[in-house]
Amino acid sequence: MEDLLAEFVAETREMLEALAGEIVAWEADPADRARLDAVFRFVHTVKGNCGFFDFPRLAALSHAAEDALSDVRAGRREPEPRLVSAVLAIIDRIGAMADAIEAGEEFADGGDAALIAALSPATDGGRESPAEPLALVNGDAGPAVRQSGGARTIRLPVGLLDRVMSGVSDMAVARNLLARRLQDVSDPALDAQFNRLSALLDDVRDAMTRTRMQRIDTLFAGYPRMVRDLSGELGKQAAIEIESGAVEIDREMLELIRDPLVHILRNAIDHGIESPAERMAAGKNGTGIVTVSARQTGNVIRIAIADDGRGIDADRLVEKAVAAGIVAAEDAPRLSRQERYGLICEPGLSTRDHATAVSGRGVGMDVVRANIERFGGSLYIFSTLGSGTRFVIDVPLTLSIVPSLTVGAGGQKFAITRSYVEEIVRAGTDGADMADLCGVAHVTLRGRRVPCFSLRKILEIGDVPVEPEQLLVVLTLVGGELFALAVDEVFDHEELVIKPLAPAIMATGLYAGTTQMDDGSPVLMLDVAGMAREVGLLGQLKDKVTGRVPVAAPVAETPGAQVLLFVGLDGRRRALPMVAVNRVEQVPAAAIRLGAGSAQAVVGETLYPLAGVEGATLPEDTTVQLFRLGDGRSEMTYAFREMLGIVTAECELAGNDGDGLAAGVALVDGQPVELVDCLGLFARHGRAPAPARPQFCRLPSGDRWFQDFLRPLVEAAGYRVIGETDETEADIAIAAREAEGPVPQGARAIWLRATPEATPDMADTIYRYDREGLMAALRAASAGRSA
Amino acid sequence: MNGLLLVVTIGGCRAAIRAAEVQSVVELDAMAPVPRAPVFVAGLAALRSRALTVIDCARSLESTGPVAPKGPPTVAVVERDGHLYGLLVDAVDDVVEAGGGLAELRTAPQGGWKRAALGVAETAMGPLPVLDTAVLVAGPPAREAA
Repeated sequence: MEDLLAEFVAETREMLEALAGEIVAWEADPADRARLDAVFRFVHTVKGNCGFFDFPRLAALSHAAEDALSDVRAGRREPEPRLVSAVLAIIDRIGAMADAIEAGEEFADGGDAALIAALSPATDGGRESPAEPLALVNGDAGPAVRQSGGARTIRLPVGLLDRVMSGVSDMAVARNLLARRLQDVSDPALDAQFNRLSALLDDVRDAMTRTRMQRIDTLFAGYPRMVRDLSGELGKQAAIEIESGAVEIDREMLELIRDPLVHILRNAIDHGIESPAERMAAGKNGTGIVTVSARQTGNVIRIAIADDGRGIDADRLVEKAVAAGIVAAEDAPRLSRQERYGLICEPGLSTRDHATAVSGRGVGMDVVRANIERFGGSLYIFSTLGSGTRFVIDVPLTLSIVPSLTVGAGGQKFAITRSYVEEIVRAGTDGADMADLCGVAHVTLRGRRVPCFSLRKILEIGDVPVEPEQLLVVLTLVGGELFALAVDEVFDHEELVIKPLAPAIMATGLYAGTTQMDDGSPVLMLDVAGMAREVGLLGQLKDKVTGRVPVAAPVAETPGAQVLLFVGLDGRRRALPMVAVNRVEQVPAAAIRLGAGSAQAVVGETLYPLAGVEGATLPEDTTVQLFRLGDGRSEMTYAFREMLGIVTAECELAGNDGDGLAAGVALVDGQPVELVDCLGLFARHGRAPAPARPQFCRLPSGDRWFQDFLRPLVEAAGYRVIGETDETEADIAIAAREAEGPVPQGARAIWLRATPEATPDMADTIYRYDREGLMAALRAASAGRSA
Repeated sequence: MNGLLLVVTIGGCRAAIRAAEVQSVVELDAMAPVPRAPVFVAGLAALRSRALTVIDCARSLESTGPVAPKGPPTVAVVERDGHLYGLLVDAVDDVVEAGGGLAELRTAPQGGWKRAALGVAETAMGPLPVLDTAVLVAGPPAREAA
């Protein structure tokens, strides 16, 4: 806040200095329109800034002056000398107050009212002499004494900063070239000096990077005014709440998000917030609230614009999309929530039938989304019909330094923004089975069928199909769709300085920018959204829907198959069919829970059923090795002590021997080895069919009872618990009926009541200690989802 | 018009570019091709730490003349709309003083040349068509560039 305050004071003072000449000229010729405008702009700006800070006195003064001047501008009032004097007195007072703010002093009370009163048009009672209020001002403020205190700031032209920045980048490139030469020389003394120089350069580069950063507050500062004006124009009542923490954002990025944010804000007021009458009728406060917030999480800045308006009617949106032929009717029910709301970003779709002057017909959200994606950001939309909509924009921390993955195709190097990269797999291995579907290669990853495209083919530098063993970079699009690019090589994760491309190259729609490697060679940054468009993934929801249908791959357990030989936790040698093993994991013993009913293991962030622990004791304080088994639909884990190797074995399938643990016997080097019964394992443990993603349950994060008592139960039922503010789509939300607050976001809701007996207004609730009832509801939700 | 002209050879033909627009003439040692870019975009190079889009002038003018000679590519660097472009030419021949104004180009040369020529300048090296760098950078109209 202090930086901002300093900036405010500096800006005000700067404007005052620039205005000094204008004021004098205006005084001499009050009819001078240009001067009048300059003075008006000043009080207007001060007023806008005051609204952002909490300076009621400054705000009142500048507001009064602005009103009077705007009357003059509109020709409703003559700029008579009395008014001019009064305005000048207010400007003096603003300057004096700014000095007081900087010095951290309280400005002496009083006098404001007299100054404001002096602005009012002279009444018939006679003309007062303007000398009185003026004298008063000069009397109590005294001559302005500037006290310098705190960190001084200076203003620099942006071009100069850019020059220094690019000079520093050049030095880094030269440094890297020099480093290579020095390796050939290998002179320790020289190396030491060079390393010192290198470290210094890195410091300078860091500092320079910071000069590019700006408080995001500067962007939001104009919003209160904008909301006020817009709501007035549209006959709405809206207030804005801004919470921005201390988020800093790259100056260039700030410019790029300016327009999309304003557009969303306008939409929120125009389409989101209802008219005061409608709001009253819906039992809401007549004044709508728009909340703008910015948070830094990891290397993204998450900006949210939320309104408490009417929300988006997803069903109606889908209907329209079907009618417009954007979505095939049979696919409509399969759209995820995010995909449904995402439809408002489809060109030409809106739930509003009437266009308005402010934000049109919702046209433009497609542009907004395209713009956000262009700089590597993502747009998410959450909405509850009747209670509001929330737009969330994830913005990369800086535009110019992007964490990237470098890949090779056709002998050339390309970069991909790392935030898009989901994982890297080798086609046909690592559990990524390949299949051909209508001429497009697909791999199956954790039950999801992911289309694969050859990067060489997209770029037309070779016509090679996607083949087994090829490296696949799996990319996530906004909305969660996956697709994979087959590349020749994957080089490295690097922080790359991205530069803009010339329009002729941007027009291909395939590249987002260019960067230089350490040796100075240029590398193109691929535009992931553009790639998706190129292969027909974006703008064709139909494909997106069919792309995520779970696939069933039968587990082959044929005699003579490859088996994985291992020693179980109980010390016995066993074998698993190789096809069933997706990967080998190592987890701490703490990640394993031997429940009364079934054991479970947490791998990464996912909870899997666990087998192979029956009758065994877990080694304490160590790690446990697990096989991750998959049948193409669901996954589970199997604990083991030691892996012996992969062999091709003659397997003799015995009839089910009753305990269901062994499918038969494999002969390995003449020794019989128990073959684990995968069919039985999945029948018992696999929550078939397991969802493609873990199921999420939203619980009130601030409530101790929910977190301490209920959470373990929900987790044991296989859900992952998230808080109210988490952006993830929840499959189910649990909340107390008695609790105040907004309806939790979730595909289904379970309401709990505190009393064993249900009162009539407590229909459809479950007593919070009714364990069976709760589990049944959770199971029902889970079954409903996978049905 | 008066001023200095940079005399270049493009597709085997002599032409001139206003020297005031040219920041420098450099020989590129590395150039990365840009797959799927219009044909007149020869590639991407780096000039100091800025991206340099290399424009193949012969392609941009849809010239049917002989192919550029082998050797390190020579480009004239111009800046337009904040982007740096390298105008790839067969050779940079000279810098000459232009005398008098631009005469109208009376002949009807091939499409691209007509589009790009601002006029004809009389120089010590004879009459030379003066090319508009904006047209060179923009390339042929979209129909052909596709």
